[in-house]
Amino acid sequence: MRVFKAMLKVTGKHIVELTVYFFVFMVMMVYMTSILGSVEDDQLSSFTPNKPNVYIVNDDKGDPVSDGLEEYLSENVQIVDIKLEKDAIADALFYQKIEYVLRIPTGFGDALLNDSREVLLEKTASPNMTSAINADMLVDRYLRTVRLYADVELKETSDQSVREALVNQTRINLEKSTPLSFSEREKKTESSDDRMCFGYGYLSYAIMSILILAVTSVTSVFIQSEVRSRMRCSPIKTGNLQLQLFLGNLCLAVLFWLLLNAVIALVFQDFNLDSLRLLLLLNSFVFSLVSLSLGFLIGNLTASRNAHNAIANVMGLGLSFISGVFVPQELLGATVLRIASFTPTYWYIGAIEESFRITSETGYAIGKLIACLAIQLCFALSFLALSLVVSMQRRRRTLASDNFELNEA
Amino acid sequence: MIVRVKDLVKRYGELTALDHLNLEIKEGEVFGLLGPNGSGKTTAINCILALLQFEKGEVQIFDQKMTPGSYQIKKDIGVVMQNVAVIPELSVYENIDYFCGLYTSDRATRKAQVEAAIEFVGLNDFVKFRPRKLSGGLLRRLNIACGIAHKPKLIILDEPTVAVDPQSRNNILEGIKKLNKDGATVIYTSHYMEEVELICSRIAIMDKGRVVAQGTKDELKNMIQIGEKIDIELLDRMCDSFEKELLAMPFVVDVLCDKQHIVIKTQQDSNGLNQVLNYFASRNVALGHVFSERPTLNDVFLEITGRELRDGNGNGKVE
Repeated sequence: MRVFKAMLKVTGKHIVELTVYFFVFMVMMVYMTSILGSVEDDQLSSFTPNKPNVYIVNDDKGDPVSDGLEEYLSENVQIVDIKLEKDAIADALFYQKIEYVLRIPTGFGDALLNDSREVLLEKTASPNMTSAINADMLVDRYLRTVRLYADVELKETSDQSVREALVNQTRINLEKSTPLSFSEREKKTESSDDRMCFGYGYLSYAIMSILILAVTSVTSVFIQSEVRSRMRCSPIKTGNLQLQLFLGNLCLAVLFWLLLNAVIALVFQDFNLDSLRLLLLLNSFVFSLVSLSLGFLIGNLTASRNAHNAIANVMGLGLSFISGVFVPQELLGATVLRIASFTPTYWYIGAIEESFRITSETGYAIGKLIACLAIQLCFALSFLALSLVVSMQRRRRTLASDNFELNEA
Repeated sequence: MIVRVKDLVKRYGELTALDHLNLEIKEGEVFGLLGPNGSGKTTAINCILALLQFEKGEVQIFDQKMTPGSYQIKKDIGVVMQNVAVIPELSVYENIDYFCGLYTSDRATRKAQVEAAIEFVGLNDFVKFRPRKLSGGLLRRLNIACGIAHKPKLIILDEPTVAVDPQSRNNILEGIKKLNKDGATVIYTSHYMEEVELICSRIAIMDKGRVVAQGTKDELKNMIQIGEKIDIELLDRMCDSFEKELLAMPFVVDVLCDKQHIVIKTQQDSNGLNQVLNYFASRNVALGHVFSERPTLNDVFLEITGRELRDGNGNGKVE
């Protein structure tokens, strides 16, 4: 096992560099997951509705329905209480000082109760503002409720007192809300699951970057044409040599996989080996094999250390971005996801999501998870096959160096 | 016979790198392979080591057919490649230990062998150094130590002194002589004729993939017409006036003139120096420096191929 031992020695010589990388990745992960956790906790415990700035012009004052709408809105939005000219309103909308303008025309109350479309509300919303949509929804909700009561309960709506009663009924209805509370346990579980999902997703970035660096730094030493030729002159069988190289690289992959997962367990203070953790461990192990074979391929392609560093960063970070490590896949564009589906990281993230679904939803089929894992294994095998092809080509090129010498002559 | 190469043919597409090469290397020899770049020396070495496949012929080492799977034979071969083959991350000691370990599995034996190799190449003060900290000469010595540490019976050295300072070169050449004295058979290729003349007991001159001449250095030099080269400086005359008369002499093979400097090549066993000196004395020519030397291997190559080993005019790089 001379080659195997030498590989470990060579890895040992790169230990400082690899340790620095390892700690940087781990610190980043701890930091990012802690931010994610604190943001989610705040959001879950302190929900406050957004109140858009709304400017109301009520030309139908005195009508209980129209006045009721203005009153309802003033309780649920931020009313801009200054007189504005038409141009000033447009400017205020453009500069987003107000987000929604509502003009209630004369006779709107009558028209609404008579189900007439002759008099309509005039609404102007600031473009691309979600808060304006919220204001629009409030208006719509009020109008629909008024119409509902008018249709069902009241025959005669021209009487002022009847209208006031209708508006009161509407207000009572709109004030009703369903109390919602989060139990502490659910809140904690959901939050930590999300953090864990992110943590394991981030793990792909760390695994790929560190393993590419580690494997290339070792592989490139043994694929140098001089060293390779020298080893082929020795009595070590070629198969044995390849096996030792493979075992050495596999040990590296397993070592880093264990270390990274240990850090994840420490970060989340979760040492239970339930079905979810086992699936996540299996997924990260399969991804380690993918990164290992990718590192082997890159190591065979070039022996330049600078190129290895560059490729490790570009591959690790680039694939993480397009595959949904930092941004959830649901938020990524269809084209990006289509491109990402040709990368192993995409399927790794997919497998994490499937693992969470399988363990949280009853009766969920395991087929998708197996497909994600199988595709990752296919990537690993493809990279390995490619690296063998590159290795053979390199060997031929090395042996053809005499040819070059002859041609020169 | 330690190495027997029979009728070896190796082609790279249209180009024939080895053209029916035949070599026989006996036990205890230091066998030199000499030839310009592209003559096929390294290709021959690679074929002998089964690193290259060849179209025709056979290679036998220790009277057994050599193939890529001849691991028993490989155990007794030490190889020093033309390019330094060491692992940059490992120290001098670790490198020698690693390459020695490919042959010797027993730890105690290997330790003794590694220490002996370090002593042999004189790297005792550098055992903890990484290769990149070593000078060119020391690096070459490390390369040699990695190739010979396991005490092989056959050592193949492919131009081990390229880009090495004279002191390191002398150390390396002395080391090769010592290895041979200790019982190893050596195959040696070099760019330097002087080295080959100095350490090789037999020499094969290669050109265009063929052995054009083979034998001891004296046998090779006796193969050609020239027996002596006389180099004379004329103090008071230009040499042009004597060129025709000198060429007309029966023992003179060739005359090269350059102003007041003349080189006269004479036949074997012609006692040319005396006759040339008498000729100039009879014409009252004052002579400055006078040198006489036996023909070099370059002269042998020149006469056989019509080209110089060291020329660079399209027939190969300076060698």
